[in-house]
Amino acid sequence: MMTTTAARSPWSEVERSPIADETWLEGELSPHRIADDIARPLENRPTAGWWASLAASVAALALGVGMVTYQIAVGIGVWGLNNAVGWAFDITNFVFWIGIGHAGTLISAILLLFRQSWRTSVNRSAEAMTIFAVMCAAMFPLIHMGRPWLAFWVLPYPNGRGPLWVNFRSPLLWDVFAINTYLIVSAVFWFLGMIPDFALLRDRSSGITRSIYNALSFGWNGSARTWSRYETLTMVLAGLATPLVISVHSIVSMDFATSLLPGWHTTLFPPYFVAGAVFSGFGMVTLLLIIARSAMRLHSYITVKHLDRMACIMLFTGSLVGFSYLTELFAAWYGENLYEQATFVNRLTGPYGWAFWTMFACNVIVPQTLWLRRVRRTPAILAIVALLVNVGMWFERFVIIVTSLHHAYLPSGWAMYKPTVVEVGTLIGSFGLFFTCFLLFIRFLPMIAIWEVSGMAGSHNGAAVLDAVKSARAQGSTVVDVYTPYPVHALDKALGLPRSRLPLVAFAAGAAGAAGAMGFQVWASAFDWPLDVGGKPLNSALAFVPITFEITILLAALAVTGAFFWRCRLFPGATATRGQTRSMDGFVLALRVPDQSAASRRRRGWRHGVGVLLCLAVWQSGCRGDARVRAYEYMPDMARSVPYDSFAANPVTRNGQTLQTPPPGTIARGFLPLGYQATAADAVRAGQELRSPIAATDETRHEGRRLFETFCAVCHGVNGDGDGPLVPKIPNPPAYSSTAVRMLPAGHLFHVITYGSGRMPSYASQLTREERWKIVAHVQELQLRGSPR
Amino acid sequence: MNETRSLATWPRSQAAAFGVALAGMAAALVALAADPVRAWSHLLLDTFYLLSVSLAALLFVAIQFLSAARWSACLRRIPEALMATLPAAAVLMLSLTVMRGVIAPSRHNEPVASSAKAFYLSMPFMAARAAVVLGVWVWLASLVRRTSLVEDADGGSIHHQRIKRYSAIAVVAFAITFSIASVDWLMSLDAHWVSTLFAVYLFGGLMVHGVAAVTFVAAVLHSSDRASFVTKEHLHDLGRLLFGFSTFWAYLWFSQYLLIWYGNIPEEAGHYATRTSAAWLPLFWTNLIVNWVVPFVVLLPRATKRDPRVLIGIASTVLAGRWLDLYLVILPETTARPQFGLVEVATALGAAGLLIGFTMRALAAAPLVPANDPFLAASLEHST
Repeated sequence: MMTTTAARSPWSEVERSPIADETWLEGELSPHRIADDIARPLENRPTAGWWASLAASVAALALGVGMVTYQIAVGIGVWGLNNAVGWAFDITNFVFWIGIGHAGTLISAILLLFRQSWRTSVNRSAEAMTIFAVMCAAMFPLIHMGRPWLAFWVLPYPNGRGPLWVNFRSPLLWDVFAINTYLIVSAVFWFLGMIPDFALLRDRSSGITRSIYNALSFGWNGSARTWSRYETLTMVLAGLATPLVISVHSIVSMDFATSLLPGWHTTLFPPYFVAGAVFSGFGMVTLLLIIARSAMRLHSYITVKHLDRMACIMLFTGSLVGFSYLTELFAAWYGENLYEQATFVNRLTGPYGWAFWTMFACNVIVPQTLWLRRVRRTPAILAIVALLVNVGMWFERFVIIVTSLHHAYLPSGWAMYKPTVVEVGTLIGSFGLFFTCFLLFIRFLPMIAIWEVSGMAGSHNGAAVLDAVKSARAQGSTVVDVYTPYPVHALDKALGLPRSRLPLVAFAAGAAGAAGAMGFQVWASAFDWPLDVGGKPLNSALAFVPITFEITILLAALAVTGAFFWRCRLFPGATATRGQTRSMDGFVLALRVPDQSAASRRRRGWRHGVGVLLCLAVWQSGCRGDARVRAYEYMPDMARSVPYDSFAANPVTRNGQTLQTPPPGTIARGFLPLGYQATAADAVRAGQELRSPIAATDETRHEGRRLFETFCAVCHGVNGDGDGPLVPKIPNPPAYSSTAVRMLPAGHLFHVITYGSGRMPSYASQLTREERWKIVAHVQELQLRGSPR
Repeated sequence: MNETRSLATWPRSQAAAFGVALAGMAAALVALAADPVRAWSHLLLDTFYLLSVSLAALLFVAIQFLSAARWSACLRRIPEALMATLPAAAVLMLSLTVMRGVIAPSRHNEPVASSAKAFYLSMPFMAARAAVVLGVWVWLASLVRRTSLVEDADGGSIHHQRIKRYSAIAVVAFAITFSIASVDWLMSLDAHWVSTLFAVYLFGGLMVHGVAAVTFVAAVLHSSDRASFVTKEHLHDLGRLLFGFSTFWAYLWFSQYLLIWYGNIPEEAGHYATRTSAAWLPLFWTNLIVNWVVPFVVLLPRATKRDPRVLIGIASTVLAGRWLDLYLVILPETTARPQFGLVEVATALGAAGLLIGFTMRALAAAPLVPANDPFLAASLEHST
């Protein structure tokens, strides 16, 4: 896309040196030839090799599906996990596949920002690999949940449990947002890149294939206005995807780094994981493209120079990974932390040491061969290096996860881990899924970006187009639009097109996303239902940053893409309108454009109406006029209780009731039986056996007096003379100073209060035992007072 | 072409710069006698600052060659000039390492438990490592500079390939030596604290330091008639790099802070507990604002990245912010609370004088445009 314009500076006499000119494609390739070459696998029958590979992949996928079905039906016990090693193959595979996905975004986004034109041959397949790899990766957190059918509980939706919000401070939740954002934004980027190619394929095909490509191409017509906005959009998305790809694997690394486990808790993890992800991703992309270029005869497009560049990136990131290993080892020694040192000694020399050294050989030693130009430029050798890199990176995640867990702080918690057939089968199944998707991709979709490669090969046509525009204007015609099969540099300036405002849309949506995400997390965690999690402050702004970041990127990307489609009037089923021809491999200047706006607006209105009706229908099904009738509930959660209600009927019990009478001898919690009956003999016995358990302090005496005057004085009188205000209505209670009562021991008095005596009822339900003893103490004081009757 | 050869050598400006540098040195010596810990800490800060910018300039050239970048070919003399301070800074750093054994500036004086580590951190071994590391840096920088100047005279592509080879060596050697140096000179100020990200964090700061310095000089040259080859296109790309690297620095700042905060392990968390305590907290947040928030917000629109005045402003902000970042790395380990007085100003001005003086001298010593660079034509016609 970067063609040179006429020299504008006084340095025009400077010669161009031979090494400055780099052509990336081999041979004389016209855009027409390019389209033919790349569309050939789509338009012809697949080869036997393709069928054989597909059969193998589908078999592996079927194995995986079987294993996962069995595991979900029976439970995670069919895996080899135990109390010590709670994460093993599941999370190793998760991180492995997410890492593989990073190459695509790096090639598409970062290399675009760095203007590396060699990316155009490899970006489409790399982006596809990203999507498939992220799909494979996302499978693992889903199946490693005990109840995957409740997976939607990780989303913060207003539920019937409080609403109980998710734990925003957990990196496991940051993963949910990061992986989903990554999947969506990568898919958008990938699909967007294919729209011009769908238009080209639409124009080359007929019948049902044509209508499929037509629907997929959204009415693309190669208009310069659209291309201009498209390039702005791509730049904005690249600018958003770059921090996204770095953030995703950083967040994945924080699953480990935020813990306290030696070997996991280390600040280097975020950039180390990102470097490792790019490394493994490029390993997979290089390997697959070496195979694909041979199988599909694309040597002119994916040249040795491309492989060289990818090998250089592998060398660089592999060196970063190796350097990280050395840093960790040094820090373990320097930090003088015994547990950290023990972890690393165990990693290198313990029972899983073979895994460590495999990893070291594959990730540190093997990539150093890439210093040699010979290795970088021989596809067969490079493929082996790439394969070993993938093996090494799988083992790296295994080493990090399993060796740290199996040999943690306490020796009593050490355990070995052995994968079961189910886990190995699931891993094979994930490869099956990946390769099946990839094989289908190369069969049905253009695996090289036709318009991007054409743009590179046909860059000399750009000058001719610009001249045509200039001469048309010079003759007085108005050039309304130019239809090109690929973007022509500086055409937007020649047509006087204004700078697109799409970046503003991205900024506004991103800012709204940032404010909304941070605000919501703060509200949910610190105000709506504050929960102390791990002692973290309720308003943990630091911990809310990752999700805020992801939502910013997601909303910005979706908004700017939506704005682009809306602004360019592109949507599924739109009809492409352009000049005289409908072919995408020519250049057309439009000097007059018929008025199509009314018809398309009508058509659009109809579609809008359907959408609104659908929403209304869904909404209505949830509402009913009569509040007594239950409408359709979308998310009943726990509003309908699964356990039996206390007063409902019960088919299981003998008497058909849920609530049962307690069996005889049941006592209330916290109650201790006294062991007496309410008889006079037992009162005497209590007097002999019981002693007051409370100390005779001023406080207890004061309290005893207060209680006596509250509960007892109404009959017994304030001084215990049996002359309380109730007395004329009930016969006299005996005075405490009378001979009968005066010598009664404390235990006897306690018994009387507890069980009653004669007309006096039991006061056990009104007074705790301690209170009764306090009253007894006061009564004994009153016994000593007063004169005998 | 002849215009660049007659670029004035700014003799008066150079003299002024070196004069300030000498005055700063004198003041530093006085301060060393009066308040050795504070003076030593600031000398360390400023020397590391100088090393940071000159190493970053070396890396700028190295990355440009390794990635076969065309757009920056005509700007190559700017980072080459910024490398010129390296030998002086190296001598300073070596002296400071030796002085450290005498002054014992660190506030953390509990002895280390392991004797191997005590030996590792002992002055003779530290000084030996420093000498090797600094020697490697000076050697690599002079190699690159000399070959660059020879290319002007000879032409041909052989020198370009040579510099490319030196660049590969430089990048690998830098990774190893800079990590050792970061641990030795800065992390060991608290001998009981370790963070595996520390060297990478300082590397992030170093990269943005270099880009800011190159941007500053390029924007100044753009405004001057005699360097019309520096166009808005180049400034745009430098602005993008400044934007990107300041965000990269913020990413590293955040990663280290979040992970240590989250784990809340006493041996680690003390580092941030100090820096977020009442005395240091305002500077802690100012650091983030100056080094990331301001460049991010100001450089986000396209127009500002192409405006030389904005770029000079933001580059200066970042250059000041780098000082603040290093201040927060070093001073909480040697002093109880932030102080700002004559010592700070004198040493900073002295270092600035050295940097400006050596850079101007190097810019004047060679043609501003590397005439025989194979990518020169593409660079001059660059449009973005």
